[in-house]
Amino acid sequence: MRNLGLLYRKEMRENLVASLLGMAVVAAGMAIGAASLNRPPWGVFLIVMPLYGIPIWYLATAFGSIHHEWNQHTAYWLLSLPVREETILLAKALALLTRGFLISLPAVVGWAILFERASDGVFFPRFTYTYLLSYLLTLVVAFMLAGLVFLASLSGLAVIPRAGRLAGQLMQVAVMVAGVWLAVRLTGWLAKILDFLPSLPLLGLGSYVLGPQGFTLATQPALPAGTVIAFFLLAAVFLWLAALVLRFWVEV
Amino acid sequence: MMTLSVVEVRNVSKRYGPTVALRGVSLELEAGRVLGVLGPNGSGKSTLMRLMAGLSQPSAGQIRILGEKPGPSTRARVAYVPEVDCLYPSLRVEEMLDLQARFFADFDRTQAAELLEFMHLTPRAAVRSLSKGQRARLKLILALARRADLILLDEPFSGIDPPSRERILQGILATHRGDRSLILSTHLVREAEKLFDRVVFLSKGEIFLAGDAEALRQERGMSIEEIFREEYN
Amino acid sequence: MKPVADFDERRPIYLQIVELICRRVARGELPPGARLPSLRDLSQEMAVNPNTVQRAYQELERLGVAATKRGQGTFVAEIPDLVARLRRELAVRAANNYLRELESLGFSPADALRFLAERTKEGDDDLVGGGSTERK
Repeated sequence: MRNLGLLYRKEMRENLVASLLGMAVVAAGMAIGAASLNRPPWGVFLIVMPLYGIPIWYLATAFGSIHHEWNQHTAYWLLSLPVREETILLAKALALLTRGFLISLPAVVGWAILFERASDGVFFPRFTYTYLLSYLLTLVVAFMLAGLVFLASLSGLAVIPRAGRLAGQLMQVAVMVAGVWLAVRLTGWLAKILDFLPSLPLLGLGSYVLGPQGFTLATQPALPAGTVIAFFLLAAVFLWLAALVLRFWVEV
Repeated sequence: MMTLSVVEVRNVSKRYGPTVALRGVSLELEAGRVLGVLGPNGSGKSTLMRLMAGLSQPSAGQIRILGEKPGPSTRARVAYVPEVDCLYPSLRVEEMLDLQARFFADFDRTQAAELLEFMHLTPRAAVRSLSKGQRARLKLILALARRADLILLDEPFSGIDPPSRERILQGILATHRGDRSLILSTHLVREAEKLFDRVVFLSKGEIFLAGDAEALRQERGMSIEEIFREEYN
Repeated sequence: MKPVADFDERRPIYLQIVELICRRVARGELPPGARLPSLRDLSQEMAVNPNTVQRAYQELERLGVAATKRGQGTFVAEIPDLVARLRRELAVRAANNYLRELESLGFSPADALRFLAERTKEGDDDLVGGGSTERK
């Protein structure tokens, strides 16, 4: 636990400037977008941008956080620590999540303000639960993706010294594809066999009554418990496999 | 358990795909001794060092460090300095030392402060702003300030100016204790000539000569450096 | 401190440390009973591995030049004729070296003696300083 905290702090410290810069960029984009909403398409573009940008940022940064250690040779230092490989990767995943949270914070806050304004102050009392839950779920999915990207990167790194760079890159792509396929299959399968468990409702109580005229939904949208469990399970499996690859096959 | 070998390498081979980096290497080192792993570039020195440091797994054979298989618990007692520059450029010198101190219980902060002064490094400086020689010295302090049972130095003199080499050599001697073992790999034999108790000569992944440094001098009437030059020419 | 000694790395270094200390004892720089530097200090001063110094001290003990007192360190042996003996041994060695060198140049021992006699007459001052190989 102590080592996990230390490694987490090291990751955060190492990327402090980049994280603050990222926050500033997203915040500036949101502010400029909001100010120029009357001049389409730029205002809308800037406001919607983080919705696409942040998932891409997660993927790129997760790849980067592994490859960076190898490219700048700090992997030598990292792997000479008296720490289990699982701890190293878990710290990286948690730090990545924290950084993602920080970078997306200005966008999430900005969108909330815009929704609130557009709906004349009705959005928030009703949809706080849904909004926050969606945000939380994106973090869970990001955690799972981080594990998969670590597994793919490290599998690639394990292959490179033995079969060359091209084979390593192909390995990365193959693991990513296989991982996504597995994620899709497992979430569906677990949702089916665990359907006796209560689902996670996506809308809060009464929140489907919107505005003075109101509307009702026939079925309350909900996430099967199996899907949520599958996310966590996959995250753990990916991280564990990645640690195994790191311990036995990856060369510095 | 009385005279436990600090390092036991038995018939170790390491392959990377079709390339063989080490072939049937065996060596042993008692506590408190200094071993020189000598050979030209590409002879397998760094691979052997990485295996002993627990950074990589042998393809065949066995390694025991302080009686254990290399892993997190041996890494707590081994200080490994790789040949490459393994420091975080975005950290400051003192932050790098602080990290090391927090991970390794045997890190001696007083010793580190003394070494820092001796090696002419300023704690506030950013790692990024250091010269190559300064970074090599800092890398060495990370290891020498630890009261580790075994120190592994991979090519500590290569690519470094002579004054830095001299400092590094003095730093190694100043922190040496009777119960600490040291393995130093190098192709610059002259710099470390007087440090070795034992030497092994590697060529193409195999040990072809091993022995007591003084006995080799006596037998051949040559310095280790001269033997090195003769063997590899 | 600058390294005191330049070793000939073609010969075992511990033997050269033995010779160095014997010479210091012979010159009276290290009187009988004097404490030899600690392994650590001497190894740093000479930039050699402490194990090498230890080996040298063991050899000095074997030769009867030094003795180790448990927990106190290594001392120059307190034997009455130690200094005289060492001085003689070193003088003999120097003489042998001189003779061997001249022999290799094709001079006989008689020639060697004559050279020595001439040198001593030429200038006693030259010899008083006794320029040793250690000083530069």
